[in-house]
Amino acid sequence: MGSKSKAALLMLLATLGIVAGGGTAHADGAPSGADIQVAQTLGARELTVIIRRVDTTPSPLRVDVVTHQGTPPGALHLAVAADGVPSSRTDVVLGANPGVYPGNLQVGKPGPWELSLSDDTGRKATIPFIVPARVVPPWEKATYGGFVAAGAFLLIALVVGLRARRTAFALIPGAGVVAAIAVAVTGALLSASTPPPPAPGSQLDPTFDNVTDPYANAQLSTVDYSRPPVNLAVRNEGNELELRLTDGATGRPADDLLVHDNALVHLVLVSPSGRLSHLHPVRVGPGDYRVQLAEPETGTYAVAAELARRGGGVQLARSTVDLKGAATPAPEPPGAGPRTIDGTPVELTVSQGTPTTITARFPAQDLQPWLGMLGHLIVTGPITGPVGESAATAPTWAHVHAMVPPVAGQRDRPDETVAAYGPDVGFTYTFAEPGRYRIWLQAERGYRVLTVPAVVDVPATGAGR
Amino acid sequence: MKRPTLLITVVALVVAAGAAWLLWGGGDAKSTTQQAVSGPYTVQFSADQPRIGGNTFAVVVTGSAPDAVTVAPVMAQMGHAFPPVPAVPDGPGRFRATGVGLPMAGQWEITVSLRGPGGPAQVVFPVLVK
Repeated sequence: MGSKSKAALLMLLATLGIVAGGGTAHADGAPSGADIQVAQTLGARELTVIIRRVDTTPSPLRVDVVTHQGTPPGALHLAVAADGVPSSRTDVVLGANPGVYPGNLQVGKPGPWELSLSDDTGRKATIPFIVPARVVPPWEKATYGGFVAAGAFLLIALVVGLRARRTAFALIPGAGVVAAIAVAVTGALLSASTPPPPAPGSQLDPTFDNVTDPYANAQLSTVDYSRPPVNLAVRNEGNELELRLTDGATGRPADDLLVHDNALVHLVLVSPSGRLSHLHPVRVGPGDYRVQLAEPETGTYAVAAELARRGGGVQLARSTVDLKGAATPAPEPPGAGPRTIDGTPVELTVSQGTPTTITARFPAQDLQPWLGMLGHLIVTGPITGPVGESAATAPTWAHVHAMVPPVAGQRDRPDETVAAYGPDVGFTYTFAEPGRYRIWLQAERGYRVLTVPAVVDVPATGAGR
Repeated sequence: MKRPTLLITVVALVVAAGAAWLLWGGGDAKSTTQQAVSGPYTVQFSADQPRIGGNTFAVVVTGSAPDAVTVAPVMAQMGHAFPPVPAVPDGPGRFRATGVGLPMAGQWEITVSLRGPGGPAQVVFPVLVK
């Protein structure tokens, strides 16, 4: 083999190496996107809709619908739409057993999409979500491009050095190597200090353009993306609650709610006798959320809506609604001690102090995460008189969480199919003032959300405080 | 001295190609069209490089022909709404609003209101001013 053919072979191999070795570079080492879990109270069903992550487009979109104990069987129509035009539909047939029912849809491009769910009888629920694009940041382009160019220049320098009349001519491509490496190293060094562009969805209104190319807005000078608080108007119409959310500054419908703690709106109702409902109204239009109620009691209900708007910040909007119904009032629950809730024995311990620790012990280590948490605790008080009315004006309205024990390195949180937590669910809360409080502890077991009501008397002085 | 000239040309070309590749995609701000559907109306909205000051927005409505179209900007982060600006007809189903003032950079939301035989409707389009 002559030196000419050897050089040609070397050149070919090097070129092949550059072409084949490039591959796809992921920003931050992993494809973007995560599962989106959204709780929806659709008609009489309490569902969890899990929109599975999508890494590339076009792509199939898997949507899992999780049902709970008592969810009536039936068909659910699912559709996804972009630009207001539905592009893919499927039916998910929910069985009588609680569990996961999958549906497969198709998404064509990255950007803002809308998933709709309907069961023919009631409202059509719509969930806005974002299909992320695979984005290469500019510094990564510079780094990879720089190193590729350096390789190319190096090859040229080699060939020139071997074949040119004067070896010094190799200095010209040699200078190219130095320049290219300088670009690559600068890009790599700047990568750590380059801030990510404002995120479409959580900070900016998502559009197909800014999801596809978020770095186009990287130079935006905005530092505070937060928006005004919402106004909440609650109306009852035939045991369907209508929640109107409007922007607190302009009066326009607030249509920028983010999925926060696995729901768009967490609606907590406390009945006149102290029954708690933790519901997840469905979005039927901009700022228009609806929820179907089971047979109510007659009297004033306390209403609290927990939500997050685009730009950040969770807010709590409280109100009341007067309902009429034939449900019998619930008796006052006991304090700490054992009790049986929907067939499950639960032992409640309250250790008074500042802060107070409230622990519920379930029979086995088989609790499931609900709304991304191991447990929820709603605290309201001090209560005097009818619970609903009193809770609506009580100075304390708290929603305490018990986290699912985090697993290092695992970004996606476990969904409800993982029944491996407990048996103790502990909460720590600091009561602001003495008095009689109502608490409701919620945890999921066997696809049934158990609500444990209790009364806690917070002493004014003494060992308790 | 033929070879170095060729060599310099090749190196310069490679450097130029590399620079073009790096800058490609970031420089060209394009007029973008967004679409939304409300009731019988399919509304397409385009903003020509939204900027601080007066802007021109084009609205194309298909499905049902509206009698009147207005655009109303809101500075979402500031919570500041501006009065609606009427969009004048600009061909069948086409409307154009000129001189819509967007006085600062940031996230704007443009509410397009339609009135006509198809009933009233409102759709919102986000616009980012840089």
